[in-house]
Amino acid sequence: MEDIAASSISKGCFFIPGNAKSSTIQASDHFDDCGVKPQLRWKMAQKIWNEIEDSISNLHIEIQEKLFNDLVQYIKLAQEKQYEKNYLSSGKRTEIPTAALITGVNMTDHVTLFSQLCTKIKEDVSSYVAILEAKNCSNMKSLMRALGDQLLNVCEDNKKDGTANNDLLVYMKKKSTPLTISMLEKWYFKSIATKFLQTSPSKKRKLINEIPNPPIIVICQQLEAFSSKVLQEFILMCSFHAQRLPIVFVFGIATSWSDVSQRLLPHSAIVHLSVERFHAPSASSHLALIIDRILLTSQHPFKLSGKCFQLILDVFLCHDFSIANFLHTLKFCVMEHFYEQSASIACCASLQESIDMICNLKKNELKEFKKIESMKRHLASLKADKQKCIKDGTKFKALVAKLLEDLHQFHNCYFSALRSLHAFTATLPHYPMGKQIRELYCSCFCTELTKHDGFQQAFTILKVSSRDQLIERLESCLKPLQLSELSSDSSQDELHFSTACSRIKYLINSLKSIGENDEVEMNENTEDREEQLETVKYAYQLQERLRAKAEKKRVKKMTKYEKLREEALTFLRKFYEYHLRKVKSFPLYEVFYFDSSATIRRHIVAAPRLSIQTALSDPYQYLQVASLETAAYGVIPSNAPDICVAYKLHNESGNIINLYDWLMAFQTVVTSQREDKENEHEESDDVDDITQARFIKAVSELQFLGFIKPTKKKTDHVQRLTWSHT
Amino acid sequence: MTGTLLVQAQDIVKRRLCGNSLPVQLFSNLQSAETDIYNLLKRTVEYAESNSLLIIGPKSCGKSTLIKKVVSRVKKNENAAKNLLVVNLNGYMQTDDRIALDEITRQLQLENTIGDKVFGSFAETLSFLLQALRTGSNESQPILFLLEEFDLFAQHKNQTLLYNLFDIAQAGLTPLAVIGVTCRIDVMELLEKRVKSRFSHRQIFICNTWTFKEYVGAFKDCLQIKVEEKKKKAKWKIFLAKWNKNIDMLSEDLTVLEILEKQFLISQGLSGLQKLLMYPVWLLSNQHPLITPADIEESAKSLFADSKANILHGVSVLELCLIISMNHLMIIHDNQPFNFHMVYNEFLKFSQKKSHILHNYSKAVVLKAFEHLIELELLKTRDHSGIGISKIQKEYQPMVLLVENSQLLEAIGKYPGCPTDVKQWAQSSIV
Amino acid sequence: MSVEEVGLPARQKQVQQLTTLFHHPSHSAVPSIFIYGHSSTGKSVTLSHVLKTRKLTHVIVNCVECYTTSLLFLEVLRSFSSNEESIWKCDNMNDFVRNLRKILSKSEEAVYIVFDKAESLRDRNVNILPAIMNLQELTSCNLCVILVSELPWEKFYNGIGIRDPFIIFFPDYTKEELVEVLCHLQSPDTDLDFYRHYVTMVLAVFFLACRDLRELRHLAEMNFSIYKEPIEKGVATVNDKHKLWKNLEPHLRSALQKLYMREVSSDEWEKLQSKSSETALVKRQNIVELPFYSKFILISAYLASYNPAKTDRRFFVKNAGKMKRTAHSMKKDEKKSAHLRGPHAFPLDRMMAIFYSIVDGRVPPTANIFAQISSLVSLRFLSQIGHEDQIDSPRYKCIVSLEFITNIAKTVNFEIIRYLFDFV
Repeated sequence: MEDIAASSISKGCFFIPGNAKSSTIQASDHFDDCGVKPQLRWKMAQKIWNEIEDSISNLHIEIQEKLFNDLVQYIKLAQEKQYEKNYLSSGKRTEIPTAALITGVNMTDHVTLFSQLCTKIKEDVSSYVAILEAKNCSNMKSLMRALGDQLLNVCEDNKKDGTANNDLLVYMKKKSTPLTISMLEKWYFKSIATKFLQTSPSKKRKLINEIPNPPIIVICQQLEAFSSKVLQEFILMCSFHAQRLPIVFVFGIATSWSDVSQRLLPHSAIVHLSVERFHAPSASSHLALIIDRILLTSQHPFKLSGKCFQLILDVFLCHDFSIANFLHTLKFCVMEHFYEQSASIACCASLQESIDMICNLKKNELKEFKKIESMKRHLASLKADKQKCIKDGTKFKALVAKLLEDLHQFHNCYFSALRSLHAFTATLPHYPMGKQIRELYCSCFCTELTKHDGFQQAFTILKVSSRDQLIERLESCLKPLQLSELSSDSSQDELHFSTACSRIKYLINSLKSIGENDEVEMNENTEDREEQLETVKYAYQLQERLRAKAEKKRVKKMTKYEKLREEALTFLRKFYEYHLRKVKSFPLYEVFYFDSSATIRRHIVAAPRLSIQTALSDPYQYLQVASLETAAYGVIPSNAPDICVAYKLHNESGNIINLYDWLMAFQTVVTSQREDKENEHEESDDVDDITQARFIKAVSELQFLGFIKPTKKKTDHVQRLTWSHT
Repeated sequence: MTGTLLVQAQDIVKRRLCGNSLPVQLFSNLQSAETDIYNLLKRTVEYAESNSLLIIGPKSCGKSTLIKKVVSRVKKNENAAKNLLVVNLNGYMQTDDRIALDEITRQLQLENTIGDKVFGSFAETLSFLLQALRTGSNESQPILFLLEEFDLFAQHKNQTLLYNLFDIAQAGLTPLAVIGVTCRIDVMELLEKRVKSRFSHRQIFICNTWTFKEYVGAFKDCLQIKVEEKKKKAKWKIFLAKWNKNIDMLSEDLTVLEILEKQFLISQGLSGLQKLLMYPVWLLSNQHPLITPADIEESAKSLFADSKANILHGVSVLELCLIISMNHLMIIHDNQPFNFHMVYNEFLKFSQKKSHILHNYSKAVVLKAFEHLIELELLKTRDHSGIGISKIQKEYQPMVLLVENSQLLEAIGKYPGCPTDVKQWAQSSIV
Repeated sequence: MSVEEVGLPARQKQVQQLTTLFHHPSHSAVPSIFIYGHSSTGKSVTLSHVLKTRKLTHVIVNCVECYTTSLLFLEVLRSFSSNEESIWKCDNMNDFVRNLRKILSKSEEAVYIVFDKAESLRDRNVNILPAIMNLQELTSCNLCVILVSELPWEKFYNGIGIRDPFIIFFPDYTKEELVEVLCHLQSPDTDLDFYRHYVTMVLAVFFLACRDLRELRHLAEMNFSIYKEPIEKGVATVNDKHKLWKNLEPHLRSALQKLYMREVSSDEWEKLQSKSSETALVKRQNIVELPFYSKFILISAYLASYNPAKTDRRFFVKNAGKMKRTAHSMKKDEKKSAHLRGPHAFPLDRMMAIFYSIVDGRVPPTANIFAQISSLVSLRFLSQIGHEDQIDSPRYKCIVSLEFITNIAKTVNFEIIRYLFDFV
C-alpha cells in the first residue's frame, strides 16, 4: 500500500509538465493507446502549442524591448559622463553608476530575462559583460573567479590574436590563481590596446581621444541572495578603481530598492554608488497582456473553459507570480486536451480544416462524437425523424460539420463582442462586470448573460448615466467592434457587426446633436405653464389644469435624450445577449474547450500532505477492497493496513502520545475481529509479539512520514507533529 | 655650505631615531648583560661549548642592538670567531617550522647540498644540515642561532624547531648557541615540558630603567653628535659646536622639559622619545637650521592628541545626537546593551521637541547614520560578531557604546557650531 | 575622492607635513607612518599627490582588494619588480621579506609602501600587522610603511606588542572648506561664484545631517541642473537668488529624507526619459507586490514573531473571553517591547495555524503554499533559524519592518495593528 500511495504522491508532486524534448518520445507513444487517430492528434497538439508559444515569445520581446533600451541608454550615458569627467573637468568620477533593475518576486522567470539582457548589451554597448549569481559568490575568491572567467572568455571570443598579453592571461586563466580587480584592470587596458592595433590608423586617431572605452558591465542576479559582507567589499574595491576602470553595475532586485539599500548595503558601500532605478513589467500586468493578446482571441482554436481558466489564474495570483509556470500549465492543458478528448481531432484553426477532418473519419471514430455530453443533449433535443437520420454516417457528418460551423461563427464575433462589453462597462462604479476582461470571460462561459446579475446591474446603472458619459462609453465600446472586420452572417442581420457598428455610430452622432434642443423643450413647456397659470380664475380650474399639466409632464418627461438612451441600451443589450451566449449551450463545445479542472488540480496544484492523509485515513481510495469501503466514519476496520490503524488512533490522541496506551488501542482494534473464544480473555492482559512487531513497524513508518517524533519531555511518549485541520 | 653639513648631521640623527646605529652611551647600563652574553658566545667559539640563553626585556630597550654589538665584537676579537656562523631567525618571518627550516638551510648556504633529498622528520633534516657543516675538517664550526620574537616560535605546532635546537644544544655534539630574544616575561610558561627540560634556564632580563635625569640625558644623547664621528674638518667642528650647544639649551628649556616629563611619565622607553623628536629633526632645513622648543611642542601636540576626540569632532550633528542618546541609554539602564530602535526612540524624544534643529529624519536615514558610527567603531556589538555575520537584523543587534561620558561632553564642548539645545540635552537626558 | 593635480584646497598643512617627512629620500626614512581621518577627507589623494609630485618610488595597495595575504605581498612585489609580467611565488612573510630585500638591495633611495584601508589588515593573521610595522627592521632596507585608515591607531592594538608609527591626523573639512573643495571639483567652465552660492545653499540644508564630502558632492551634482533650470527657461536671471532658492528648496527637502538612500535619480536622466517616452516611468514607490497567499503567510509570520505565543488564543480563537484579555494586558504591560527587542523565532506549525485562522476560506495545504515559505526566505523576508537540513518543525523569524508589513496588510485590507500585542 505504501508504494501505491507514494506513486500517487509523486504524480501529484513531481509531475513536470511541458519540457518538449522528453515529452516528444513518451507523449507520442502514450497517445497510441486510445481514441481517434492518436498520432495525428499528437501532431496537432504539437502544432497548436508551437503556435501559441511563438505568439507568446513575440509578446515577451515586445514587452521587454522598452526596458532593455532604457538600460542600454543609461549605460551609454554613464560611460560618456565618466569620460567627460575624467578628461574635461577637474573632479574625476568616484561613483559607480548602478542600474537597480527591480524585477518583481517571480524568481523563476528571471534567469531568461538576465540572459537576454546580457546578449542585448553585448550587441549594443560592449562585450565586457559578466553575470554574477549568488550561489557562486559565497566568498570573495569565488566571486572574483566567476567574474574573471566570464570577462576573460568574452575577450577570447572576439579577439583573434593569441599573442598579446598571453602569459598574464594564461596566469589569470588558471583556476587556482586568486584574481584581483587590479589584475583585471591591467588585462582590460591591454585588450583595449590590442583592439586599437587592429583598427585602421585613420580610425585609431579619433578612437584614442574621442570614443571613451567600452564599459565593463557587472550584472548581479537577485541581489537579496548575496551575502552583505562580500557585496560590500566588492563595491569598495570596485570604487577604488572607479576612476580608471569604467565599471557599471546592474543589480537585479526582486523586492525593492529601499529594502536592499537598508538591509544589504551598509553606509560605507552605498556612498560609492549612483543609482538609477528601472522597473521590469510587473508580472500581473504581463500576464494580463498575455491573456488579452493570446488566450482571448479566436486565432488559436484551443480554448480554456471558464473553470480551468479561473483555476490557473488562481494558481498564478495566489501562489507564484511566475509566467513560466503559467505557460507550463497552459502547455499541459493543451496536451491533456488532445490526449483525453478524442473529438479534439476536429480542433483546428480554420473551419475548413476541421470539416475535412470530419469527412475522412471512419464510422467507429464518429461514434466518439456521439459520446460527447453536449452532443448527447443536442441529439436528445432533436425530433424523432432527425434522430433516425443521424444513424446514417454522412448525415451525421453533415450535422457535426454544421455544428462546428456554428461554433466557428460564434467564436468569430465572440471575443470582440466580449471586449466591447468590457469596454462598455469597465468605467462603471463597483465594476459589476469585473475589473478585468478575464473575469467577464469566466462568467460568460458558464452563465447565460441574461441571468448574470452583474449584467443587469450594469444596465440599471447605465440607465441613469448622463449624456456625455454615455457617449464616451459608446465610443469606447465601438472600438473593438470596428477592429474586428470579420463577417458574421448572423440570423438577425441587425446584429451583424457592420450594421451594429453603423447603428452605434448613428446613435452617438444623434446623442451629440441633441442636448441643447431638449433644453429648449424643457423651458418652452415651463413658460407655457406660466401663461396658463396667470389665466386661472377658479380653484377647480386650477386643480384640473394642474392635473392636466401633471399628465403632460408625465408624457413630456421622456425627453429626446432619454429616448435615445433607452434605444441605445436596448439595442446593445440585445446585441450582447446574442453574441455572448453561454458557451456551454453549444453542442460540441468540448472540441475546442478544455474543461477538466480536476485534472489540472491533480497535476499542478499538488497536495502531498492531503494525499498522504487520505491514503492513511481512507485506504479504500488506493486499494479497492470492498470491506474497507463499507467502513463508516470514525469506525476503524480491523483489516485496514496497520499504519492506517495506527494513524487513525494517533489522530484521536493529543499533542503527546503515550506509546503503551497507543499499543493497547492498536491491539484492541486489530484483534477485535477474532472470533475464537480462548484468546478472547487472554488477549486482554498481554500483547502477543506479532501485534507488537506490527505496531512498532507502523509507528516507525509514521515517524518516517513525519507525523510523530520521539520526545525528551516524557519517557516512552512520542510527540505529534501535525495539528488537525478541523 | 652649512646646508650640506646640516644634511649630514640630519642624516646621522635620523638614523638614530629610526633605531639603527644608536650612540653607545644610551646603553651604558647594559654593560653587565653585554659581558655575560659576550662570555657565553666566547665559550661557544673557543671551547665549542653549546649553550642556550633567553634575553627578556620590554620593547625597544635595545635588546637587538645589544646582540648585534656583541656578535660584531666576538667576530672582531676572537681568532676562532672567523668561522662562526650566525643564523638569524625572526618570529614574524618564519611563521612555521617548515619555513624556518628552509630559511636555516638558506642562511647556512646548503640549498644545493640538500638538493632534493627527502627526510622523514624535522630532526633528521636538521641533523643532516649540521652534519653537512662539519664536512672536511673533523671539528665542526660553531653556530649561533639568534631567534628574535622568540615567543612566536613557541606558538608553532608542538614547538619542533625549539625542541630540536635545544636538544642538539644539550647533546653538545656541535658547538651551538641558541639565543632567544623576546619581550614576554612569561615566555617560560609558553614552552612545552620536553622543550623546557632541554633548555638551560639561563635568562637575562634587560630593562632600560631611567630616572628622569637620565631620560633627559638620553634626549641629549639622541641628538648630540660627537665630533670624532666625522672626519675632522674645521667647518664641521664649528657647525657641531653650534648644534650641540643648541641641544644643551633645549635640554634646559622649561617647555621642553615639561613635554619630556610628560612623555617620560607615559613611557620610559626610547621609542616614545624617538617619536617625539622625529618631526622636529625632519623639519630642519636651510631656512630653519636648528631645532626650537616650538618644534618640539608642535610634535608633542600631535603626539599627545586624543584620537577619539579627533574622530568625534568630525561626525555630523545628527550622528552626534545619536551618540548622545546612546550615552543616555547607557546611563539609564546601567551599561546594558541597546539596539538601534531604542536609540531611535530616544532620539525622537529630542528631535520632535526641537524639530527646528533637526527635521525629523526618516528612520532609514537615521539607520545609515547609525551604521556610519558602527564603521567608525564608536560602538560595537556585545558579542564581537560583526554586523553582517550574525543572523540578527542590524536594527536589533545589541550594541555597546565605546565613548566615555566625559569624552563625549568634552567633544561636544569642542564641536564647531554645536546647537545649544544639543549641548543642554547632552548634559541631562530631560528634554 | 580625487582632486586635480595643481592643488588640494584646505589640505596645505598635511601636504607640507608629508613633504617634510619625505624629504631627502637618500636618508633613512621614517619606519612607519599612520594616517587617519574621516572618510573622504582627502587622505589617499593628498598622499598619492605628494608621492607623485616628488617622484618617489612607491606602491599603493588597497587592503580590501587584496583579500588574501599572499595577494597583498604579490601586489607590492609586482609593482617594484622591473618587468611587471613576471609572476612571483610568495605566500608567507618570509618569502615576502626575502624577495623585497632582493629587489630593494640595489636602490639607495627610500621606498614607500602604502596600505590603504588598513583596518582590514586586522582581520588577517595576528602577526601580519606587527610584522608590517616592523618591515624596515626586518628587511633592513630603506623603506617606509604607510597605513591609511579611517580608524584611530588605538583600534589597531591587538594584544601582542606592536610598534607605534608616526601618526598624522587629517581633520574633517569645515563648512567653508567644504564649499572650497566642492567648487574646486566643478569643471572649470562653470561660473564659480554662481556655483559657490549654490553650494552654500546645499550645505545649509544638509550640513547638520551629513558632512561626508562624497555624499554632498553627489547631492550637489544631482540637483545643480534643477537649480539652473529657471535660468535656462529664462524665467530667472543668475542674480535673483531668492527665486532660484524657492525653486530648489523642495527638491533638497525631499532629498534630505532620502539621504544616503541614493533614491534621488539624477535630473538630466529623468529629462532624458520623459523625452524618450512619457508612457513609462510612473514613479512607483517601494511597494513589493506579492502573491495573495504569500502576503498572508508573511503577515502571519510577522504576528508569530512579534506576539508572545501565549496571546495567540486571545487573538485568533473566536470568542475568546474579553475580560481575560484586559486582565492579561494589565499584567503584561511591561512586557510589550517586542518591537524594541526584535522578533522571536517561531515554529512552522504556529505560523501555519495563524495563517489558517486569518485567511478567509479554507486553503488546501498544497505544495505551492509551502513553496512560498521557502521563496519568502530566499527574498530575505523570513530567515530560517537553525541549520537548513532540520526537516521536522523548522523555525523561522520574520525580518521585515513594521511599515512594510502594514503596507502589505493594507493591500489585503487586514488591519494588522489590531492583532499586534504591542499595540493593543
